[in-house]
Amino acid sequence: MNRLPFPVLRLPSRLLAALAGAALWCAGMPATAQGDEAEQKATLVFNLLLFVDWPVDVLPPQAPALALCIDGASPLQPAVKALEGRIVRHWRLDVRELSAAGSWSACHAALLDSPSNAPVRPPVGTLLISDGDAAPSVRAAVALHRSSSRVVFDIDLATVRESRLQVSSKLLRVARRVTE
Amino acid sequence: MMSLIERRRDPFRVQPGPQLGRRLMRAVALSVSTALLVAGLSFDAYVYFSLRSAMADDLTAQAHIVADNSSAAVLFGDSGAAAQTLSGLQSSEAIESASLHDLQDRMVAAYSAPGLRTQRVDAAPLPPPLANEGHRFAQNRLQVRVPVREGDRVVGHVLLSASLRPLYERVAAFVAITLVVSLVSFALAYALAIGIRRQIEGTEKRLDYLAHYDPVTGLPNRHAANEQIQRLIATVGRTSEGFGLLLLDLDDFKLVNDTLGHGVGDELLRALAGRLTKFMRPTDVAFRFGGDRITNSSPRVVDPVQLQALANAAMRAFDEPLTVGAQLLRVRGSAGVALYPNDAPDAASLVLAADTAMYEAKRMGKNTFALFQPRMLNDTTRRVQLEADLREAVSHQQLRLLYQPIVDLATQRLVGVEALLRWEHPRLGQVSPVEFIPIAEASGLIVDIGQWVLHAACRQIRSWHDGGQRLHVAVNVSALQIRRGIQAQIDAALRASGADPRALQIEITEHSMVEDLASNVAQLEAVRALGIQVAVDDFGTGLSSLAYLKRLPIGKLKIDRAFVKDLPDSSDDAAIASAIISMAHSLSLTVVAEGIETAAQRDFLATQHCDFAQGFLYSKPVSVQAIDAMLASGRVLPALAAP
Repeated sequence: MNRLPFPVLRLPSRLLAALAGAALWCAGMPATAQGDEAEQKATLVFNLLLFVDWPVDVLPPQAPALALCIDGASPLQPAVKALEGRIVRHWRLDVRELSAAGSWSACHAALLDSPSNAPVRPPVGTLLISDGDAAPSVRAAVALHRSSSRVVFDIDLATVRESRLQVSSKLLRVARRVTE
Repeated sequence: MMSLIERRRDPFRVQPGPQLGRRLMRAVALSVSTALLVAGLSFDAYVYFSLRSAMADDLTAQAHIVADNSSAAVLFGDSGAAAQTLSGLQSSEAIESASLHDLQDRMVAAYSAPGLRTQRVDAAPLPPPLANEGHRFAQNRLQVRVPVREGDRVVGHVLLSASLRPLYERVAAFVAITLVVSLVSFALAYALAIGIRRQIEGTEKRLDYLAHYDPVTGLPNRHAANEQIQRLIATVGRTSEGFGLLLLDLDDFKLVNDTLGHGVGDELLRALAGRLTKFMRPTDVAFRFGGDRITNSSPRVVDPVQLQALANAAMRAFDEPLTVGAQLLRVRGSAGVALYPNDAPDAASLVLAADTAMYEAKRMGKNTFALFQPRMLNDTTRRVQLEADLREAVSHQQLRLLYQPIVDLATQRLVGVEALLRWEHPRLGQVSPVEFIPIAEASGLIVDIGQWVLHAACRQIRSWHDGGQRLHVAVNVSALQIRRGIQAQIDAALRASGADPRALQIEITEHSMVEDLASNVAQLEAVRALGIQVAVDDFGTGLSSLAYLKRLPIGKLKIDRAFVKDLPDSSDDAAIASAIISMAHSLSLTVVAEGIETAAQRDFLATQHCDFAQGFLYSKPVSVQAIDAMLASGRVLPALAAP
């Protein structure tokens, strides 16, 4: 879209994008009473990405897309897949199959819901997010948990550092628990 | 006495305009304070709007801080974290409430100021929340709405509401300070203005007093007199038919000042003013008209009889001697009275009329009064004209000297002459010395004229001397000439003519000797040192005592014609003449008898051993040629007039 040659065309394109984004955003708002848990978790994952900084060599600002990998068999996959194409800061969100990615370096973020998918050591440049309810043993930078009707998350700063990522202090403030 | 004077002052005390002054003072103080108040309130208004604007900026800044710190909380719907962020607003007293909302306008967290949660009930109803970004002042509150962003994305908004009460309190404090300062300034300005006003009033009163009163006598002054005359003129035809004006001049006041000092002179005037006021009617007002002149305005005096009564009353002031300090002084005065409107059509003419009458009284022999007569004005006019003409008389050679022979009674030979001045006026003909000499004296012209006489007499002495005749010439000298330095004048005349000083005699009147005796004696001593004989003229008529004769460097006395006229029949005059001659001789003075018209007079005086004689019996004043003829005929003068 940014490459459109005529400024005249930009405004409606932007409007369209904004409207589309707003519609999707509304669909993915943190639900308090209704909406299923998968959708809540997917939205939370999307919001998390807004507060994370990747090393420039891993994800430069001019890169076309931010890759979010998820197991194709995960129950969260449909909800996450629905986020495909949304804009996260500079980048378009690209939802990939974890198995199809080939290596961890192809994933800027990965949502893990099974210990089988988890790496031995946190890979550099990849934000590991675990579904703590499904796979409590997985060591991840961010772990999602269901708490009554809400979805909350914990942050493990050691993992974040090992992955050479930076998490905004704002995110730390709204995390349920932050561990070193 | 003073109370009478005080009473008479009142009409001239100009009432200052206290009302106007006070109003002006108040207006000034009020306008100063109003200006200060307006300036202060303008400043307060400026402060109010500045504070309001600053408050809006502050609140917006705080809202932005909250928004920045709460984007994650809004995004994740974390009410606890959002509330924690909002709780940081506690440090701001003005903020009453705050709330964070997500994009669906759902409230994520809210904050109320601690003290306000219970007061809500009393507080003013809250205005509806702002629908758009920005700020709004409503219902004594400032509301601010600021978006919450994460990156470029708007994720919610924050609403802040602050009470304007602290702002109002601060501005109210400013206004109170302004009012207090204005009030204090008004009080200070008013107090200052009162002080200045009092000073001004005091000065005005003093100036007014000085403008209208003579500080020496306490009498209203000439200025006040003119005002009073104008005031009285205004009443004529309405409440009165006329009024009288009396002008009083002290005789020989200068003598008092010169001999007793100005302090005594002032005291005398004060005493006389008091005395005069006592004899006047209550409606009469006395003024000091300048110098030794006192004027008196008498309302409702309409005819000469009343005017005469007025003058008589004024003259009574001189009946008794005045007490001045420790001494009793007998003073004399001359008064002139005039009537308005009979004698003059306006104020200036009225003063002139009274003045003219007063001079007439002086001419009549002083210590009397004269009612104004229109003819006096003619006399005055003539006097003024004569004075003007007299200035030119010397340079236009209208003056000449005649000489009256003086005869040695023992030998009947001509021994000398008295030089007598004559004025041939080009239009009026001969003007009598009796008329023009007083004018010359009064105007000071006598000095120039006297100088001319001395020169002419000395030239004549020289001329006779050159012709082989030894004849002394007696010249009359006025008091003014002596004061101006008679010695220098005589020196100049002698040098110019080369005359023998021993042939010159000067004659002075007793009266001219009275003023400043010491100085006159010194002058005359110097004159006598030149070899010039000094004679006292008109002896016996003046005020001088015999003691003067001892002190004055004189060599000759002239018995006044008044004592000669009735000789030898009047035994009084005979006794006086004999006494003068005998006294003069015992003082080694020679004696000349004036005004001898009969042989009987001549014979009597000869038997009394009077030295010289002068009079119509021998010759009237004659020209040089006539004297020359007498000299040529052997100097023995026959008796001309019949006995």
